[in-house]
Amino acid sequence: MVEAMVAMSIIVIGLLGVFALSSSSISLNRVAADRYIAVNLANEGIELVANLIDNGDTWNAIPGFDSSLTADYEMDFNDIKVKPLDGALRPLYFSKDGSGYYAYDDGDINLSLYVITTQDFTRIIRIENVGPTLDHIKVTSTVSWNAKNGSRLDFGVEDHFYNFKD
Amino acid sequence: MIELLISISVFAVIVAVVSGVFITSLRSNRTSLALISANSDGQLAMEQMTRMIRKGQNFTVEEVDANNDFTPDYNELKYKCLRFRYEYAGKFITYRWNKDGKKLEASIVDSDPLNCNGSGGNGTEVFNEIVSENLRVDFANFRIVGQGGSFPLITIVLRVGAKNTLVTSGGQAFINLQTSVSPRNDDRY
Repeated sequence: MVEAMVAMSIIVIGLLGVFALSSSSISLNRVAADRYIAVNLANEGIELVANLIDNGDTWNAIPGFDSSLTADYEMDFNDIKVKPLDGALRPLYFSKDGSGYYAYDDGDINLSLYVITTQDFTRIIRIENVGPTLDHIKVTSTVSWNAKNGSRLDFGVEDHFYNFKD
Repeated sequence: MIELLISISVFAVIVAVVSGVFITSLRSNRTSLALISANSDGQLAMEQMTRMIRKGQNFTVEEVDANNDFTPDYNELKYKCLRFRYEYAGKFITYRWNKDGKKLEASIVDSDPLNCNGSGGNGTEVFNEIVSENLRVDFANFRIVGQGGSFPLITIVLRVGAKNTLVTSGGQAFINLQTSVSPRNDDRY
């Protein structure tokens, strides 16, 4: 009987290990998926600023950007200018049953379709002039989100723009 | 005799449990690998499209409504298309989300690009799937901002998952990707 109990205990412990591995594997997949989302949103932050630079009449004329300051901004694809970060970071709403877009609640999205995801993605776009000649701008876009264990993860990308117009 | 019966019963129960766990583990592992592959394929599709869009111009978006009532209801969409002229090769590229097969497709033609429903062209062009056959594209969306007279901003949404997956991760069997691209060509020229 004792032998049977010992054998069963060993088997149960083994099974628990297998369960834990399976569960861990699924969780890690969620982490990877969230990172893919964050990578694309961070890249989008850079592209939004690049688009403003492309469309500006003169170099450095990014609507909403104060060229005398290094500052943090928010912007989504609905915006025509960068908006200075005012207080707490705002979440990017997600239209799960509608367009599938991530966007800020600036009164221009239908809140009956948009929700804040459990990951609670936020994005900061930092723009700074590099050097004294104002011919070089550094843009960093950082996306952060909630991990399953309650911690906050982030992913950032950086790009540099140079005066090719004036 | 009784001891033997009890032993066999206990053994049978243990074997059943172990088999169940083993099968579940195998299924979870397979699902996990499928989801990882889907995430990777989805990202690849996104990168492929953004690379081409960056060199494109004259963008248009078209959609085909399943009920043909043109209400802005994404659940009724049958096709969603992004069409543009690819600068270097002078070709017309159309990316199309096809709801029926949950596919992402592309058509590349020299002239007379296909309509979103597959009509038009010279009769020989077709839409071909551009992602892995194991990838399920639940939804795709395209949007153009600033079209005409300036550099447009193209926003792309992809909702992708693995085909034939039963177990979900974190309650979701799909991933929602969004990015925007600022093409390098001025649409005025």
